[in-house]
Amino acid sequence: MEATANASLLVRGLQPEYRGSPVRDAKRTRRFASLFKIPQEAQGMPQLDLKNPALTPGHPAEATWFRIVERRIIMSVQTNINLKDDRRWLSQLIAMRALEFFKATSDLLPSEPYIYSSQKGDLVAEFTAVRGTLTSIVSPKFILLFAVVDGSPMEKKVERESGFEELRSELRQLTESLRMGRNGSMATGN
Amino acid sequence: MARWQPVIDQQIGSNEHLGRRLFDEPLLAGAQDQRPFTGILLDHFLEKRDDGQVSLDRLGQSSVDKRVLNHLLPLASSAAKRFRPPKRFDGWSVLRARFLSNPPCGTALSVVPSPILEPENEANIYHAHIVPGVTDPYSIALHLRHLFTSHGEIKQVVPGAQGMTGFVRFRNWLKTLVSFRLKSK
Repeated sequence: MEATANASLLVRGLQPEYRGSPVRDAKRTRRFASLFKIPQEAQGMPQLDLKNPALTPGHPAEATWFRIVERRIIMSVQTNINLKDDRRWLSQLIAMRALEFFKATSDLLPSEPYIYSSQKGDLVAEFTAVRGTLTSIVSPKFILLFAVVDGSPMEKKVERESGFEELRSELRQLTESLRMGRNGSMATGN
Repeated sequence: MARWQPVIDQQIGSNEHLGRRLFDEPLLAGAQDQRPFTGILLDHFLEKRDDGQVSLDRLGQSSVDKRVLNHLLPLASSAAKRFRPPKRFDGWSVLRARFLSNPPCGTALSVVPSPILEPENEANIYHAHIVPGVTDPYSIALHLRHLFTSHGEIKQVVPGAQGMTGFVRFRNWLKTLVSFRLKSK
């Protein structure tokens, strides 16, 4: 709780800047990322060290687009507490959950996502793949995955308590279908 | 021909065309550099209201009736302005009712007519809504988006047409016609 409170104070002190220099953006990204280190026991899930992911044991490889999406999420963290219900911004909690999600699964995800905030304040990420599309919704308590493979929908819901291993396992099944088709036949691209 | 008027106490016909209003949605502040999304955003099918009912407009008995669209356009545009912050009305995502009552995949959804009679300036006899089941709102929204995307069509509003009176539209059409004739001479 104390760590979160400190983070809020620090975050509030930063001004929203969307057109800053890349160096300043990178600095800001690192600064925000350091705020997302919260006590492991408070979260009930394996902690992800977003500042230095290489030190996290058994950490999956990052997709090439991961850093871009990470920057977009961090730059969208709500800094003004008076802005309620403004969907241009993500709450710190959702931003943290989204970063955890992408950190844990980016190597399995089919493409760079299009991200936006839902009316309920959760993060929605849209992906396109060879055989269809994948939508993931990151909420504080669950991750909802919805894939349309060759025109057929498939839905999976993973509760946060289930942990990243189950999430990765569910996601692996969906992304394999998106790559190979429902019957496992390889897409020809025609 | 007169504008189609639905019989209010009658069930929705399987061939009726139902439209979900599309409003422009804000981008994330830090994600303005993203490539535009080519599909329909999930939010267009999410309802924030507690009852979870998903509002629709009945756009025609067996096809989209242009007169109904023209009648609903100012209503939808003023509804867009009532959002905080105000939005822009972009058109409708349209689907035949039978794809909701008897979908090729997923749960069947029942649609009931629910005309809005007051306040007078918001009255809409074409209003209907989807009765939500026990399913999570996100699941309904994802299912609806899938149906509207794979079996429906988009009726886009022509930019600048909102708020135009019939006279203004006629005058613009006449101007275009005259300038075209002059050019061709």
